[in-house]
Amino acid sequence: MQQTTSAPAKPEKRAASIPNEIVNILLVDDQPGKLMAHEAILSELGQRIIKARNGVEALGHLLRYDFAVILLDVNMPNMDGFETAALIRQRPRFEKTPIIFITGYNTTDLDRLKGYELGAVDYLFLPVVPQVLKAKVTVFVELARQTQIIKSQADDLVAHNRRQADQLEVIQKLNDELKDANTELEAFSYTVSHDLRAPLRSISGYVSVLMEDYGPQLDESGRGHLLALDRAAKRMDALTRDLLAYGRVAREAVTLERVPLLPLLEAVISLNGIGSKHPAKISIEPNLLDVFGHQFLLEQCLSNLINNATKFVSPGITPKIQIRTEPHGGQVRLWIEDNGIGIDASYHRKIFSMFERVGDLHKYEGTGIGLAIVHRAVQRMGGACGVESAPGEGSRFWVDLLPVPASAEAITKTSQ
Amino acid sequence: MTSAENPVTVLLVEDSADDVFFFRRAVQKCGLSAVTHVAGDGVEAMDYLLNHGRFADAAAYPPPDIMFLDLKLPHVNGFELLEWMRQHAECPRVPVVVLTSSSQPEDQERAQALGAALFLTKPPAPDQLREILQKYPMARLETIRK
Repeated sequence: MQQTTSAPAKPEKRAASIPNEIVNILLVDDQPGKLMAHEAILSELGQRIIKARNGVEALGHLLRYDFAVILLDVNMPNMDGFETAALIRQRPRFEKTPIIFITGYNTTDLDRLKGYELGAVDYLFLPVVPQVLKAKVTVFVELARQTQIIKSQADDLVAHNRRQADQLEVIQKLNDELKDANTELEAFSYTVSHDLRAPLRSISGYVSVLMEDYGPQLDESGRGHLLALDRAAKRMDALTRDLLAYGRVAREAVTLERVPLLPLLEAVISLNGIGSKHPAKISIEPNLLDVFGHQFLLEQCLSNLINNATKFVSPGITPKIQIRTEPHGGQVRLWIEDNGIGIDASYHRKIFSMFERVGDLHKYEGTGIGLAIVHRAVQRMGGACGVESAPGEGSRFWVDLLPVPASAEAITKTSQ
Repeated sequence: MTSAENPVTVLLVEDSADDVFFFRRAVQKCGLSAVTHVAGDGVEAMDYLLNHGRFADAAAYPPPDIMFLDLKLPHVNGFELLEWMRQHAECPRVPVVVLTSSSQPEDQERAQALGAALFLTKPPAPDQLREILQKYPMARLETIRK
């Protein structure tokens, strides 16, 4: 038997801050008639009225309830109003409970002073005028209510703060976990780059050994297989390398800074052996605009775009690459233009996705990750990228990057 | 000076049998006379440099003229070995060429700071080895003469 229990929706626990919450009023008088008369007047306020016939009874009630206001008759046998007030005030809990003394006209100024010393907040003179009694008590009822509301709001705030502190703790914990995961990933990447690529290097190494030592004994087809083996190993090495680069581009902490493009371009060109190992004519426009970017991410962009430009050319054609910048809609647009095979318009967006290689590009070496790296890197620097191209007409890749902000400009200038 | 009578003593610190094979082959093909001793990790390299353990025979295992060092090694890695060599005066002075599989710029900087003289991407080509074997052991002789 399967039992389905639907848990009732957990009610949001909120301290009551209802404005018409009922508060208590304490009336202390030895004369039942006066008590009844005052109760009748105050009953209109809709609050709970508790009566005491003497000081001792009053203290008993005070131990049980909180009161918005105490109306205390001064003239009582045994323990008079002043004595009762003194006893009430001794208890810290009632230190601030408002007391209104009710007294006859014959009260001297001295008595009134005594009352104030005992913490009276007001006097009412007999015979009590109903409107005056009501008005004065109302003030304290409202005060008590406001205090209650403030208190409940303060409780809410405390609870809210506690919830927020709890959430912060959870976030902190997640953050720590993320940091650990990142460190682990970093170590994993390192291992991948070292351990996974080492056997591939060995495969290529042994292919060379076989080719050198036994190549002459093999026929054309045997040598072809060896070369295919070498190509496969090299391709897997390139894939591993590009995947690692993509991973690093995706999670590298990005702080933007002013980057002059020319030194970076020169480094990328020489590092990739362009112009030496891979013949190409590269012309870079003088006075390239500086950009606000990230060294490693920019290096990845430029290296992939320039490598592509040298790679995807028709056989027998020397790659010609033009690099220039221009202001474009508040950003800096970097153009990398080539005389390569070009790309059909239907692929202009697709090529920036992972593993998307188009048309008959399989004739060319490439991992299908390079432009995904460019796209991700540009995204992470707050930019955009795209291409204008048609088959047989070369490609014009553009990358929009942030310009150096005026504040950063000023800092750089003064520090120079 | 290298000749058939006076071969260069090379210490290769490398744990991969494949890489040892490619290294020996490149040395063989470089046209110089060299004897390559292999230490499989940092601890073995320390043993060799101090003529301890299986390298106790100082005549058979003379101080190397040059050391080729893989950074990723079991037990004591390449960085730790470089650090140890700097701290131990009894260790013979030897130029160190770091063999790298990937171009991790951080690794290169760190190894350079620890006294590595040169970096070589694996597997080394015979002509690269020839150039190094001709140049670096000589540099060592000069520093010793000073």
